[in-house]
Amino acid sequence: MSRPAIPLGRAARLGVATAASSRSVLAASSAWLVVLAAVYAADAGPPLPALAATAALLLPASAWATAAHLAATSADLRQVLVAADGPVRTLVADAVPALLWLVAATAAGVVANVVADPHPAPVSARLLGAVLHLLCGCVGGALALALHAGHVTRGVQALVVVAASLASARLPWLPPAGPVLSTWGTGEPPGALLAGWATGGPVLVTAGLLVVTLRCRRRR
Amino acid sequence: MPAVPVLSARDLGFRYGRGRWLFDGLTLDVAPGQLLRVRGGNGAGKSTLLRVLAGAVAPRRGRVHRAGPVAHLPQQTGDLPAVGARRLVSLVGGAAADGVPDARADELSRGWQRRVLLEAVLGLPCPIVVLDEPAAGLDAAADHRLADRLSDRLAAGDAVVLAEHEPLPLAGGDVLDLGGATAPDLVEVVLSGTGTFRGAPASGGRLTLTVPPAERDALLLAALQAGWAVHSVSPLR
Repeated sequence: MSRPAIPLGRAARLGVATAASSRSVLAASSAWLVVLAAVYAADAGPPLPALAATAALLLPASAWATAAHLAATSADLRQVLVAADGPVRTLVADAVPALLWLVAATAAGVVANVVADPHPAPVSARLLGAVLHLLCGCVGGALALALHAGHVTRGVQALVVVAASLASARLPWLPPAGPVLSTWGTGEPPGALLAGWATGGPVLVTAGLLVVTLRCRRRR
Repeated sequence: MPAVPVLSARDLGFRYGRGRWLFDGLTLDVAPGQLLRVRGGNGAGKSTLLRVLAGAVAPRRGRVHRAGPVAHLPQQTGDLPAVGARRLVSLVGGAAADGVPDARADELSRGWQRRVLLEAVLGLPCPIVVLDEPAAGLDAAADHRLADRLSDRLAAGDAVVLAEHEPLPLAGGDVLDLGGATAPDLVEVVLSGTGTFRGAPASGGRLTLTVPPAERDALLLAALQAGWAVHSVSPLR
């Protein structure tokens, strides 16, 4: 692989600067804080089920923030980056601001649980909650990347994300929210197989969506 | 011994979806220090060919080999992000943004947005430069500065591929003509005024006439002499 003409750090800084100036990203961030406030307004129950619930809610929130960031970036600049650095590095540069947002949103979700959930819980439960947030958020971000690469309109993107979020929350086998909620959302310790699918499923879905994104981008 | 090409394409073909092939079976080589001018009518596929050569899109047939990264100026839609223009140039091109306004890129005019992106692209240290109509929207002085910079890149051994409607003041280069309808079949002339002209009555203060391109100038002269104003002249294909 040849040396990139635009180092990844510079490309990512450009993406972060673009995301930071986007009012839509700010709206998605505010919505996430409102969701956390609503969940913890009353007793949300034991920490791990509460964290599993907010992790499932992070799927559409992350998709919204990523879609907002992608809409704020320039298609022309993306072509410049692809020619200079190749499609994979450009995808990474696109993903960095989304990942930074996701890390911040995960931190907010866990801190809200620590501060507002009155039930005691070991640190491991809250670390697991953080991992669940990251997994669900990654799927949301990857879904937004794939829909953007497919040149799907913003309205249809919103419909697809809402439908995917609802389906995943309702179907216990459908990653990311379904297995997360059916394993750690009940308060009962899950079996190894279920726990493996709840953590491995989102990774597989995210990887699949990123492959779709790359393929769509190469054909446009 | 001929120089090894830094950019080569073999049996290249591209079409959008199931549409017509914009180009097919295209083979070309661009050596270090070589200038390739791509010409053709609107819709001939110049911009698409440049995107394929730059790697922004994959060809439907054939393959492209690039010896390094590509500095690519796409056919711009004017959608730069809401970051400072100077910051954008320095982050993309890694160079100081001399002559770039100290303003947000998205608030600049389309012409300035194009110049900002061009400035950023020309700052990239790439052995291949692929520019899609870089002179569009530039004044004569900027045109000559651009030509000088490209001459310097060519002299330094970079390969340059240009799509151009209006030729840059840059000597030499090989020409790849993609053909296409460079001359319109008919010209539509819309006149402003009242009454009749050449037996056709005006409606709502406008009179639309369709003539072959060869008769356009004579028609316009006769219309002006008859007291009509010219509203628009546009090619029909």
